[in-house]
Formats: sequence, structure tokens, C-alpha cells
Amino acid sequence: MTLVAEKKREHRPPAGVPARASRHPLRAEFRRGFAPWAGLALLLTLAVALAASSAQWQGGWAETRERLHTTAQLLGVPLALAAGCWQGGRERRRRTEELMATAVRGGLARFLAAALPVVCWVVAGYAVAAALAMLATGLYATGDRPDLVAPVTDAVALASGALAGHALGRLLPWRLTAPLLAVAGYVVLGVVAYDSRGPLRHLSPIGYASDTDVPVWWQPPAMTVWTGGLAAAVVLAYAARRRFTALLPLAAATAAGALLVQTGEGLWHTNPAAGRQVCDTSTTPQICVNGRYEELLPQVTDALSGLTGRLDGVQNLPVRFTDLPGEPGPDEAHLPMITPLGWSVVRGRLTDPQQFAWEAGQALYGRIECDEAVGPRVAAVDDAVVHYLAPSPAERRFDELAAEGDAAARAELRDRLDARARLKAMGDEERRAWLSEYFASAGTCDPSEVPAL
Amino acid sequence: MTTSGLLLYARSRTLPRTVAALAATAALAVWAAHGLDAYLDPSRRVPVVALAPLAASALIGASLYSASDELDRTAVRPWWRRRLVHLLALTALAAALLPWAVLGHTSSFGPPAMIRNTLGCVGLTAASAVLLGARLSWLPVFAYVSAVYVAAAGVDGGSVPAWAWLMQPAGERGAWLVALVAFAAGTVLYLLRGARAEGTRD
Amino acid sequence: MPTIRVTGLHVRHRKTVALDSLDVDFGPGVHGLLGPNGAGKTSLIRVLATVAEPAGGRVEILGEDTGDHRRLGDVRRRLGYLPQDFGYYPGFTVREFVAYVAWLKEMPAAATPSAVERAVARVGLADRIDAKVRTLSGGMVRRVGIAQAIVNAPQVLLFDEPTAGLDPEQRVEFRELLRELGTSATVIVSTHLVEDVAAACTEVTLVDEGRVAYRGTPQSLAALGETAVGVSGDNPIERGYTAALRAHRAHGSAAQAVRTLEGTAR
Repeated sequence: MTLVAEKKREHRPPAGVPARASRHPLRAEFRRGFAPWAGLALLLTLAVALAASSAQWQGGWAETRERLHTTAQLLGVPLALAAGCWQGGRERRRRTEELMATAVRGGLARFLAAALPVVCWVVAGYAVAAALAMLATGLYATGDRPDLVAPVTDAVALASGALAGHALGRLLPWRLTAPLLAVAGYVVLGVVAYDSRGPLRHLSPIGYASDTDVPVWWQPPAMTVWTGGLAAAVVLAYAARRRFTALLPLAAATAAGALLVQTGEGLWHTNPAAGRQVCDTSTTPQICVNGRYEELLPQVTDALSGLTGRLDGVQNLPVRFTDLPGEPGPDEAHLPMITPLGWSVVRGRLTDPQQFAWEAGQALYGRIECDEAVGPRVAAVDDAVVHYLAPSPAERRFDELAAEGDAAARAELRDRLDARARLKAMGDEERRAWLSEYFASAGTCDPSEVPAL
Repeated sequence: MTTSGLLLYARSRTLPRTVAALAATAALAVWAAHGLDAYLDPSRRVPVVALAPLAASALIGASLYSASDELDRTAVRPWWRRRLVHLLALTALAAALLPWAVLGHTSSFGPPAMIRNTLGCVGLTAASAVLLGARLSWLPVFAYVSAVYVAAAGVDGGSVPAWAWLMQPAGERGAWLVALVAFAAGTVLYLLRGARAEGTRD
Repeated sequence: MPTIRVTGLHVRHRKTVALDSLDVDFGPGVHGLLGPNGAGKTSLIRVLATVAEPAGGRVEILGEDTGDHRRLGDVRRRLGYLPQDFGYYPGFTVREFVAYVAWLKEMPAAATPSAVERAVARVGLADRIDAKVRTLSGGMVRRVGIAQAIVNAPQVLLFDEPTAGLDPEQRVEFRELLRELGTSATVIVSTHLVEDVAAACTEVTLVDEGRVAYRGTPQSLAALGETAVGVSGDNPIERGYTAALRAHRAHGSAAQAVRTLEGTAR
């Protein structure tokens, strides 16, 4: 009886399941405890921050790179520091310091066995966030190409933060070290980003954020050596048996840092894609969009088709709408702003083609630089032309406001409506001739040069 | 040497150290705000108005830790009173010290905004102390505040959503409502449940 | 008249069942709680200490139902508890720590200082009363834990592994203290050490797989060990322990186990 009962209680692993003992002893370090939570916290932080502002980067590869990079550095690095620091204080909290001190394995191996799970999970959290961001942009991209180097430098910076934090957590195993380290990280990164004039700003992993500039090819490796070297030096100085080995990564980091500071502004140059544009030459004026979002051209052409159709055969117009950094040429007009993303373009679509066309029509004449406001007659003529070419979505609202206004406002409205009616009543040939004459005076401030309606 | 119970309670929760750390945080915030040239634009204070309450709430959250949790639970005294006094006293101290960093501009990013953010952050920290344990209570609040800080900076102006209460000027009623609800919910949760037991494990 | 009455107690830890419809009474005296690791000893002690809430069943301590939260204060006032994982404040002195627990138990402020000194003296730490807990050795910290448990002269005392970390001399002294406490209070001691049971306990309760496997005096357990065949152990109580466990596992219920054992003994 007893024997039967004892046999029943024996636990034998079922056949076909590999024995757990054969798994690596550090597996538990990776799967249990704080490390996966640290990775999840980083992923959620980045995901929330990115998702909330998705309209401003989704669809543009440069915008995605910048937003991901800034978010990862500004939010991720302090969090990685804090997570590493928390893990570093673990032996004190678990009261296993004594036990660990008797281990046969060297200090560095023990350090890495405890630190690497957090490092790996933090990097994994970032990698998932980066992959999601790139997927999100890939679905709506309209040109340019993804940058896979920047995420790697970000990952190195995050891993360095977690490693350095771990060493600090070992040195100061106080329960407030981690949050205070994170605050210090925010303050330091924030101050460096805020005061972006000193030469030391090139050492900040955040660097110089821009959608149109890209770093020279060796900037990411140099930044990697700078951040990774510092972290490696901290780790070796803390945990290696031969502490002087810390001097090696420190020297490498110093050299890379010196290179970054010395080169200064030369680290950045204009994105080649941003320096060219693609054009539709079949319209009047021609329409060009920046190479960074070249696939937007059909949409833009479509949005401006009403405008360009009405300008067919009209003389004295700019040759093309251009979309390059800097001022347009003498016979060119600036295409309405597509960037920053999130306003006229969201997720690869023009948000409001009518508004876009109106802005394009506005770009064809310019009396903004006139010393004094042009008279009501010229204003009415300008308004009639814009109304004919591409009326503002808000035009009706403004007309209604003027109709409810005082006598002067009502009189002005009447003049405007008359001018619109006269332009509309012209024959096609007559109107083309009149518009050609009008655009000849498009930039003038002298009311007498603007043709009457 | 004193053996007064309340004093012993205060020492067991490292309250003297927490008070000193809160004072240091306030001093740091004054120093940081001074360099921001906020007279040009009060919204330049946003980093201080968001980060200082975050740091203060992390300190307050860590002070909720009890090393003798198992013994504490056999106490005859009802805990909610001590918890309430503990949380309110530290929150009041933080809310009294931090606004000195951002005097003026009361309708945008001045003392009222600082007090609102302190209340909201303390509420979130207290709630996460109940769910995660006091020693790690700073982590979710950190993740939340920093994500909001970056996300709200990019959100189109006009109606900033409720989750970005931290970043709104003090005049916004909705932001006050969210912060007060967070504070009330966190406080009530902590009063009822106390910080999650942690033992020596992590 | 039992001071502690447990009926149908059910305790879970997440998915595992720690205690399974347990019925047991304890009266004045020293009760040894024996059982293998994971048997449910700590779960039972924690429920009796009103620290853990049971999933089902009823616990009455000193005539009060511990499920009634309004009466909990009255129970706790007359209860002393030394947890297995005993957390303390390293920066406190022994006097401060014990006084802090006395304050938690709402002892009258006037009576506290003398009660603290008395409790500390009973565990033999009178000369270290103003030393910081951090400066004490492991065994001394354990004795601080015992002092805080007895500071309010409780009628119910719960010790979870109290002799862990004590040296042989201290253990002998502690057993003496247990016997002394057992004359006026209900003392429940969870332990792995059968010497403690043999020397200090008036009754033994053996818990296994969340149920009571055996109840009796240390002498009857030893007698069981003497008569049982083919069980190992260095002394009669250890052999009795093994025999009782084996019988319980073979038959699955305490009642049956006891009946069978009685039959075997005859």
C-alpha cells in the first residue's frame, strides 16, 4: 500500500520534453525578474510618445528617423539609465551580495550576467518601437528611403545607458538612485538640447535634429564609439580584474569625442534627396515637389489642376512651383509648404487640396513686401483673381462676416463681389489677356500698374 | 532619545531623508528655472513644471516602502490614518516648496500649474505603489510623464487631449480635473490597500 | 475551551492550494507545527496572524471571528507574531524597534517603556537594548523579533521558524521561554527541528498537503515511531513524523490516517 502511494508521487518528466537542466543557467535571468519589464516600459514609453505625434512623422522617412532618434535619446536614455541602475541595486535588495562575492566567476562575468538582461531587453524594446515606426511610415511613404544606421546608434546609446546605470546602481544601492538618475538624465540631455550653441552639443547623442540634413557617413560610428566607449570604460573600471583596461575604451571614446567636437558643423550636410525635385512639366506653371516625397507629385498636380487649367495660355507667370530649401529663383514661385508634416500633408495625403490650391494661387502674386497696404481697389482685384483661380475654403465665411459688419466692410464686400463678377463675365480670350497683364504687375506696389477690372 | 510612536513611524519610512531630498529637489528646480529666461515666454518653464513634480513624486513614492510589511499588517492601529497623514504631509510639503521655482505667470506655467502637476504625479505614484510596490513606483510615472512630455510637444495646438494635463497652462479646467481625479484615486487606493508587499525580492 | 478554532479553512496561492478545508483547534500551551516544506505551515500561521485572508472557511481567535473586520483590532491587540521573513529597520535601536511594534499594537504609552525593557530582557538582549539593529548578529536579530512578538504580553503567539539562526545555547533558552509563555498563552511554533518539539511542545500538529496529517502529544508521536516498521530517523519523534506522513499520504485523509495508525499500534 505504502509502496504504491510513493510510486504515484514520483515526478518524471514526460517523454519528448527536453530536460530543463540542459537550458543555459542565465536563461532565467533573461526571462524573469525586472529585465522584461524594463524593455516593456521602454517600448510603451516610445510607442505612446511616437503614436501621439504620428501625424508629424508618419510617411516621411527623414521625419521618422528624427522623431524616433529624438524620442529614443530624450526619453529612452534616462529610462535605460534608471532601469540599469535599478537592476544594479538588485544584489543589495535581494541580500545576495555576500553570496555573489564568493563566486568563482570573475567580477566582470558576474556584472555582465546581471546587466546584460536589462541591456538586451531595453534594446529589444527599442527595436520593436523602431520597427513599428518604420512599418508605420513604410505604409505611407512617398519617397526617400529608410535610414537603418541611426537606429543602430540609438540602440548603442541605450545599451550604454543601461550598462553605465548598472555600474552606478552597484556603487550607490539606494532605492532613490534610479529615479534621481533618470531625472538627472532628463536634465542633462534637456539642457544640452536646449542650449544648442556650445561646441559640446556635438557630443550629445541627441545631436542636431533636422529633416533636411543628414550626418556624414562616419558620424554614426564615431558617436557609437563615444557613447559605447564611455560605458565600456565605466564597466571595466568598476568590474574588471585589471582596472587599467578601462583606459583603452576611454581613449577610444576621447578620440571619437574630440573628432566630433573638432568637426563641429561639418558633421552635417544636406540630404541629397532633399536637394533635388521632380517636376510635372505639362502644366502652366510647371509643378515640382521635393525629392523626399516625390510620389506626392500626382496628388499635388491633381490638387492644382483647377488652378493650372485656368492659367493655361496666360503669360507672365512664374515658370514653375519649386520645392527646394532656400528662396525660389526669379521666375519661380514656392510650392505651398508640404513640410513640416502634420499640416498640409498627413500620412502621405494632402489634407485639404482646396486650401493647398489657394495657397499656391497666393504664391503667384506678392505684395507682402510693400511698405504700405495697397488700396482697396488693388485688394479687390487680387481677391477676384484668387477667387477665380482657387478660392480659399474660408472665403465664404469671411464674406459672411463682412456682410454682418459695419458700412465700410459691407461696401468693401460689394466691391469685391463686383470685381469677381466682372472677371467671371469676361470671355476666355479676354480673360487670358487680362490675367497676363495682371501677372506682369504681380509683384508691384504701385496701384497704377495693376490693371483695372 | 525619543520613543514616540509617530516619530518612530516617520523614521521607519525614512521621512527625514525624504523631506531633505524634497527640499533639495525644490532648490534644484529654483536653480533650473532661473536659467530658463521665463520672462520672455512662460512656456519655457514647462520642463521644470513637468520634471520637478515628477522627481518629488518619485521621492514620495519611495517613502511609502515599509521594510517590516508583514509586522505592519498585524497592527491594531488603522493604517489609513497614518497613510493619509504621510501622503498628505509630503504632498503638501512638495506643493509648498516647488512653486517657489516658478513664481509669477499664474494663469500659464506658474505656481498653480506646479501644484496641479505635483498633485497629479503623487496620485499616479501612490497608485503604482499599490500595484507594483513602493520601491518601483517611480517607473510607470516616469514612463508616462516623459512620454507625455515629448508627445504633447508635437501635438497640434488648440485642444490638447486630457492625457496631456501635465503640459497645459494652469487656466485649463480639464487638466485640473484630471490631476485632481488622479490624486484622489491614487490616495484612496493607497489608503485602502497600502503599498504592495515586496519582501527582499525584486 | 480552545482559544483558536479553525473550520474548513481554505487558502490559495495564485493557482496552488496551500490549505484545503482544514479543521483544527488550539488551546493554551505550546503547539508544534510540523510538516514538510510547502505543506502549508506558513500559510496557516499567516492566516492566524490575520495577515493573509483565507479564500474560505472560518477562523475564530479568542472568541472573535477574524473575518469580521470591526473586531480585528481586538484580536491583534492580544496577538504576537514573528514572521518567517522578518523585516526590520537597521537604523533603529532594539528599544526603538520594539517600541515601534508596541505602538503599532496600540499599547498604552505609559506602559510601553517598561514593557519594552521587560520583553528585551526576556530574550537576553538587555545589555544591547540601545544598540542599532544593524550592528547585531543574525541570532540577535532573531531574538529582537521574538521580543517584538511578546512585548504586548499576547494571549496568542505565532512563531514561524523562530529558532533559525539561534545557536544551541540560545535555542535551549528559547525553549525555556516557550514553556514559560505556554503556561498562560496559546503558542504556535512552526519548525523543522524535532528537538524543539520534543523539548518545548505540549502538542504536535503535523500538516501535509494542506491538511492535518496527525495530532497528538510529542510522546504519542514518538510512540508511533517506536512501533512503525521500515521508517528512517535518528530519534523516535523523527521516525514517528515519517510514519505519520507516510500513512497520511497513503490514505489521503487525516481521520483515516489516525485510525489506521491506531490500528497498527494495537
